[in-house]
Amino acid sequence: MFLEKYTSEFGYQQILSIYEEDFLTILDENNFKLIYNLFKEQGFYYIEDIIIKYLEIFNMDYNLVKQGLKKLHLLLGENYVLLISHKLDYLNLILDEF
Amino acid sequence: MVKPSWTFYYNLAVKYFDYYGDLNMDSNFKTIDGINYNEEGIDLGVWVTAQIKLCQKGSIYKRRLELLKKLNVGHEVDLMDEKYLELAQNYFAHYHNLNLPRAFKTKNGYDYDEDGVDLSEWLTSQIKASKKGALNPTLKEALKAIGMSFDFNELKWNKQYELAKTYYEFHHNLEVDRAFKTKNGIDFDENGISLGRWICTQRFNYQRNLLSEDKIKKLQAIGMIFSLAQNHYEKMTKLAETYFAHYGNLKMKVAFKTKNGYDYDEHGIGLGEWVNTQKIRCRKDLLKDDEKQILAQHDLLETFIDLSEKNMLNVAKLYFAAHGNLSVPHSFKTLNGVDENDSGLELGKWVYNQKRYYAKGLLSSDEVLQLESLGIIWNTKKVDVNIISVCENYNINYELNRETLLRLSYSEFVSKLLYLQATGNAIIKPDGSLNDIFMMSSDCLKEKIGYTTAELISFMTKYIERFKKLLRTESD
Repeated sequence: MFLEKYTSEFGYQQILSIYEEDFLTILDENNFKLIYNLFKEQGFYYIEDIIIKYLEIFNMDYNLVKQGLKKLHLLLGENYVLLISHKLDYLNLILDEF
Repeated sequence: MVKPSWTFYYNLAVKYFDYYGDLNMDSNFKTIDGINYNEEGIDLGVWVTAQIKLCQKGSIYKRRLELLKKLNVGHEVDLMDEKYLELAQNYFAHYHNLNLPRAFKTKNGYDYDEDGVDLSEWLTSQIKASKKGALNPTLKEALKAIGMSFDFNELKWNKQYELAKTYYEFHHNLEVDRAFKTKNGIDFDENGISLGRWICTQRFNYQRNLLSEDKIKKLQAIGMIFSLAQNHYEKMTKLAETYFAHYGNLKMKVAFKTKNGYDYDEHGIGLGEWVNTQKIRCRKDLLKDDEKQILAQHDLLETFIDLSEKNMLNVAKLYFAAHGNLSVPHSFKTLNGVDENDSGLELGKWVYNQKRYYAKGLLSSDEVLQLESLGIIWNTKKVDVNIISVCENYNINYELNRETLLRLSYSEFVSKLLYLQATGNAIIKPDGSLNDIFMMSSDCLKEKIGYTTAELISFMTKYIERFKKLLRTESD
């Protein structure tokens, strides 16, 4: 499973206990990498936490995720990355992008 | 020096009339006794000339006119009025209205003639006379009979309408900037009428049912769009139509922006987002009748319907027939449901969206059944019965916190719960939602309690085992 390349052993085990196997098998590594790099570019330093708790974001369209991050930035201000680290639930807003 | 009153002048004029039999005096005639010229006297000649002009214009109070008629001044007004009335009646008979152009001169009442009398000026003066209460009632009724309105507000509206009409004839639209002022309806003039504000007022009045049917029709005839939303919808549909004409479809990324309808432009309008929204609204049958009409007028309604679920469900069925499940990779596109095709329908994305809709309760029961018959798996995450059991024991509302709990492993959930319990902190907040530490990033948790998530779970492992036994839950 390609996820082992992007997470620690602890993170990988957490993912296996949270997500259905059927979902994990349909993940696309190229799309995953795009989203991963997007978070990195935006300054997120806790990407493993996002992968563990919001893995479905890495399955979304790149432009939708980018749009969602932009909305979060507008909503929460310049410190949005820090604020999201305190409350990862904010990422639900990205999931609402269609 | 106090100017003499009108009555003072009149009384002098009466004396002159009684002596001479008329008021035919030189305009420079001055007098003290009303009969003889006196350089030091009152400018009676000037006054009489002015009264005659006022009578001719119809700008004199009725009472004063009646008094002047006793001095044979003002009678010609009646004769003139009769003549003008006849011309106005001829105009009405010919055009069935009294919407005269400005400075309309005529001899017969309906053809323009440079050498004729200014009929429009006369009509305007009757309105002014009416406002002052100086209009002959018989004349007023006669004018009303041929459609003349003495409603000053109505006349003001008509005047501004004419300006709007001129603007429309020049620009072929009524997209008037709110700050636009004009005298001629075309050029901006700071001292002109606020046409932009007037247009906004008409929209405002329309929305509050304050516009008469007649005014609505008149405004619609010059391109008035009462609903700005409808105007925006029309604009976006036209852009989509241009895109369709260029590419033969409406497939575009949500982030697609454009100015010309087909080239990407970072500073353009968000066409991709708009198209995507209409797809969803079409899918949920949320399009309004006027929106459907606009789409149909531009031959796009069918395209949006095609972009919605009907086709996707058929393709999903084909995928299921070929694969035995609906575990479609997110990036999978296909034309036939079997083979991957980059220019095909975005089946993977569609399946993902159905799961999002389901999670938000946006799918009908029919839609749910149809998708379940194709083997869709709604939950991407496992539902851990051990977590449900812990919630029951700790009076944590599972349904309220479901979204959060589905994102936690059992070990993380219990570790944080036990930590809070051991440190005397509330597990749930007053509103019933879980303490914030359950959804903190690992770094944030470290800052707050001195442990990362991994460290906390590791530390709590032995307690988790005891905890499980205590709750008599099923072990992993």
